[in-house]
Amino acid sequence: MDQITVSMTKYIKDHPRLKYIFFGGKGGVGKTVMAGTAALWAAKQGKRVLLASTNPVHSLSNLLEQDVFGKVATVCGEEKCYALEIDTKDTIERSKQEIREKINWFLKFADLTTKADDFIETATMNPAFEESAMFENMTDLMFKDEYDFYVFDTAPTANARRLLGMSKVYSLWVGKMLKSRDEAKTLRETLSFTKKKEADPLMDYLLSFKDRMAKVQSLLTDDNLTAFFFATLPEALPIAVITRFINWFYEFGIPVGGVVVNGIIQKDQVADDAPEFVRNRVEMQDGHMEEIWKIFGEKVRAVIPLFETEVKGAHMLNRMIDYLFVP
Amino acid sequence: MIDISLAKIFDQYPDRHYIMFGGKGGLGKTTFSAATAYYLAKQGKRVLVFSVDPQASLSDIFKRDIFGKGPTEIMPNLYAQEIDADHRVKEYQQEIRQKILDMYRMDKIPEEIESYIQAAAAEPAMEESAIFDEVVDIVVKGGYDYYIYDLVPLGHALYYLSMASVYDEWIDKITNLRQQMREYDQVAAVIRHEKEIDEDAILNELLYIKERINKSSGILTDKEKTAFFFVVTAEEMVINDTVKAAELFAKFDVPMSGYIVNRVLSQELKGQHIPEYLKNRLTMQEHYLQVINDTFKNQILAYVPEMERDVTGLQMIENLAKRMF
Repeated sequence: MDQITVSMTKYIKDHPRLKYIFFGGKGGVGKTVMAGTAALWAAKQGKRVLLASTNPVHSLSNLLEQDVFGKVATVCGEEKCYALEIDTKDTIERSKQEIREKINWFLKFADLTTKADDFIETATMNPAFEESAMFENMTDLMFKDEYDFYVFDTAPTANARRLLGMSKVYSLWVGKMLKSRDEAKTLRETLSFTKKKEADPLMDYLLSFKDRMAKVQSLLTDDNLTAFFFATLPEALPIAVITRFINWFYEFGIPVGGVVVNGIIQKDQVADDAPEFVRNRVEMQDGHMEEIWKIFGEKVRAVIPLFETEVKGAHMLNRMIDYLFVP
Repeated sequence: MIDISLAKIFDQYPDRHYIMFGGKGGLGKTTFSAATAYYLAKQGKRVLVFSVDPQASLSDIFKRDIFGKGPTEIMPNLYAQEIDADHRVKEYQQEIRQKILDMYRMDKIPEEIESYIQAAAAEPAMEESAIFDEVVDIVVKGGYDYYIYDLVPLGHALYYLSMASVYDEWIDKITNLRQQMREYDQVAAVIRHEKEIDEDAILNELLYIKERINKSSGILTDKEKTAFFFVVTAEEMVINDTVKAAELFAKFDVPMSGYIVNRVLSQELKGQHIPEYLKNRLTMQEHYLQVINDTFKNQILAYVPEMERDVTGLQMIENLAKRMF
């Protein structure tokens, strides 16, 4: 078999409650372009759409030819299409503040005069820190629920998997924390003379955190609401990468929406007397397409031609819609 | 257009044993790492190319499954390694379990503790430290003439590089604190008329870690020993991102050795009967090659042509290496 059985358009039609879609894949395969196209399309269907980049190296502003870093703005002259590159600065600042308080408390307790600032700077420069902040911002957007449809442009590497897998881990971890905190509290109340119930901000924080995680996990694993699409080129490495990705996503129970193949050289544009370089590329492409159909089969949702120019700006994205969303 | 070639750089600076390629995703970092390893191995150097990317492609490029298998001989003098962070984390977990079993003389780990061990191991920071640890192991162990780091895409590579200095700073603070406390301990011991106190095992452990990390981070910023190359292609977005990244890397004192331009289409195609997309790409390329030339001036070390097929397998790697050097 070598044709699309369920197109992007049909997949979305078959999932009328679909609300969160993600694009992932190796670097340089056109994830951002696909995300931009999908957002524009959904807005044209009458949905209020948010296109958000959770990639630490953002490229939405570049694609849209408009600065959307850290601020939501309508894009591509489409009234209902909003875009945002998530700026984790504030979230990281907030976490730093929390850590600062904890460390200061500790230093005071240990009767040390060292300044906490250096500790905090170093502790928060961990990449995991930015990832968690990105995840937190993403869940905030989802919970605020101000849009009908969300399109997320994710980081190119395994981070996307970790980003989503994290919700599962967090709930497990928080569960443990809560339990031991609860035990400590009960013990203290038993030992206290007054038997007075004290306020426990840490416990409150853990409880609300646990709720958040459980909620986002239920959203991300619901295949009526969420779909993850993988972009690839007809080349060996991007295919190998998404083959691994897809298996990981199944492990985490995150719904895989399908595969989009980008950058196909149109054969009718290749003349018989075309140079060997071009003919060889087409031959290689044929081999990889065969592989793609074999591995992903009916999960292929669209096959998109290689455009003459870089896909950038409203005009090109609008052109792209006809290919990503074949009626 | 090229003042100095990539091959000359290696001839001129024979002490630069640590080679790194940086750049946006999908530009050919892994391919260049593999080709450089091939070139050096053919020169009779013992080379290890290893990937610090949890999303590595070295296996795909060499067409050999080397993931988590340690240094694997690809051909004489050429070894490749893909770090399996998950495996390393599992080893940590096993160590912890064993300690608990030994200390408390238990037959099996209680369910409570088991789920805690599992949750802790899945912390995102765990993967980073596992990879970092493995890299330190590789570098400290020695045994190769050249080490080629296949790095993660820009943003994270930067974090990765900065991590060495972060760890170093942390350990410094902690050792200072421990040392201060030790002085207090000694005073207390004198007051209690005790002659000696136990050696501070934790402090020693920390110093050991510090020494390892210093060795590794020292390499990352050592101009004598390290060469850092940026991969760029003739596209607007890529050039912009590379300029930004290069500035950031400079802040971390990463010794920049130069730029390699990848995926350059042959000008000969121009006169031939080619599809429309290719014509446009050639025109675009002409413009952006000029931009690259103006932007990176005399730091361009090589122009590597767009290959007509995937660079996988030794034959293609050899072809590419010939064009690079």
